[in-house]
Amino acid sequence: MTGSVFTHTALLYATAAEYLDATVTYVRAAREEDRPVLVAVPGADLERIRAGVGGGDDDGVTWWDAEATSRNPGRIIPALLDYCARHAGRRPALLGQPMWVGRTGAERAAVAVHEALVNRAFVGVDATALCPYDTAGLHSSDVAAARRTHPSLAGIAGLAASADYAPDSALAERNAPLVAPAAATAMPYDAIGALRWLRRAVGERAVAMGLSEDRAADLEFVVTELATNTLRHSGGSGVLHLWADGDALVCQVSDGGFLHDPLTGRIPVEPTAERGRGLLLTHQMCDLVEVFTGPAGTVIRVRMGR
Amino acid sequence: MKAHAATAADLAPGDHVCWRFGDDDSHREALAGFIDGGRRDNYKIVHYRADLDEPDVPGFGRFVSTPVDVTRPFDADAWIAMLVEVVEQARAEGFAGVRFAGEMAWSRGHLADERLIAYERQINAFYAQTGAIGLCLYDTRRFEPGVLAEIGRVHPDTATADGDGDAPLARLAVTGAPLGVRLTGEFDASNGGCLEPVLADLVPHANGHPLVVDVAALRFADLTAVTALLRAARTVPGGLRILGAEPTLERIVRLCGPAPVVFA
Repeated sequence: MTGSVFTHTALLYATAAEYLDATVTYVRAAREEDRPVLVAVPGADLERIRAGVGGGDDDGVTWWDAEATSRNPGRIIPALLDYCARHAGRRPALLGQPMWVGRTGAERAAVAVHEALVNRAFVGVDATALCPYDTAGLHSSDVAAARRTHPSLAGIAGLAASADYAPDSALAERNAPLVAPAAATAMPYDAIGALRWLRRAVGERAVAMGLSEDRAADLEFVVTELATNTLRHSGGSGVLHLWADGDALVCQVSDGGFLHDPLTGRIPVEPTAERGRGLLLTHQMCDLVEVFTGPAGTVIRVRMGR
Repeated sequence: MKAHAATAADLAPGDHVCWRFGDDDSHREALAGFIDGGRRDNYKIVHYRADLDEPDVPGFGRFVSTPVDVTRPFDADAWIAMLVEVVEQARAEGFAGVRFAGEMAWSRGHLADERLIAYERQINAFYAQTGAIGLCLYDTRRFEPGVLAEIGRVHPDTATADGDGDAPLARLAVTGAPLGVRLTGEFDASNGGCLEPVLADLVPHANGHPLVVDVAALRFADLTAVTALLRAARTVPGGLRILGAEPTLERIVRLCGPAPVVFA
């Protein structure tokens, strides 16, 4: 055992060779110490790392295609915490790449929020995490965000503490107002009897837009949970906005509540727990979840593509 | 659902509806529709009145109107046991079943709000098991809005003058062999409190077998409803066997974590 502290390191690389060398070295070193390894990177990179690590079938390494498992960055933390809990005592090594070239602006902000929250969520977890960032291909602001959300940085010059580390301000900057477009359909609600109308409107709109029946049903569930939270916890009324963005349907719920804990919806809970699972499942089912919250109210925006 | 005579007439076996009215005309209309439906379907109709002085509704052979005895403390278990006997006797008399219309104003001054809500919650199992039909008549002039909201949540649906639909939002029916429950319609925060008591009542009778939950006609279940299913799954030694689930329900159950649930 090398220690019992969680380390969260951004791997800043500029070339494919640097990327492959650093990631393969990380995986091999962990395997030599018999630590379980989770690799969650985009599919093409996954295959390259797998080939580089070699050694045939190694049941000590779990491979996830990040383009599927990390599509919504909000679902990464619970998945990683679950993995670490299942391998407790063996200091799991996580290789997670939530950022890649081609992410939308909203997704990139959500990645930064995720990376900032990793530091809070993994306090006391005995594990290491390495997160690759392409300094040549990614927006420079995303590389700058990685320096703020990771306490340590790795690169060709070696490992160093990040002088820019400031996850709380990185988080606060991304807690920005979410305003529905003027053309969005607005549905105010103030009673539980309205829940059925909200979800039916969402389901009909989703199917009319060409979303599958399954995705439409998922979205009906999510919107019902979000609106139910409004009526149960914020003690008042809310507004649901719906609009199309490209081939995705976006739903946004605004109410007077305040999400005090930014980790809400990212920490696994008991299967029969009464509270705390609505937002967790929202993150699991949607392609992207954005949150703006403060004492004056909360806005949660979810996106569901085809 | 919409509160008018036709919807009261067309209630189906097992329905348990919170029927809100605010004036005497709509009350009379609801009761008349409920009685018409019972006559049409060969049901006995039992009307529990709020007080002795209330004028009798014009009756006929199958119709019984009885004041609730408020001189003695209300015992929900004994009351429901008595209702079971009424259903058995009606069937022995050749009726298809019983339609119960309750003037819930009887509870005012007699039963505390929490106990009334607990009773309405508990009695869901009676309707789901016997196929009797319950019309719980709530005079909005006699109940606080907050209490009415709580009462609504423990009924499969609430009928109001500006409501929608001709059938209750949800229906529950206990099935015999294999033992389980058939869920129809939609369960959300407006009616979800009716589900758990029905499941809890079945758990002791599972005899090591899985409880079968038929969801082929279930259109929607929110997290509270899924949680009720998962709680039941954990308390039944044989777990839950869910029939006819849409992919979304299966996904929600799986995302909630490991549970003794089989999908078929």
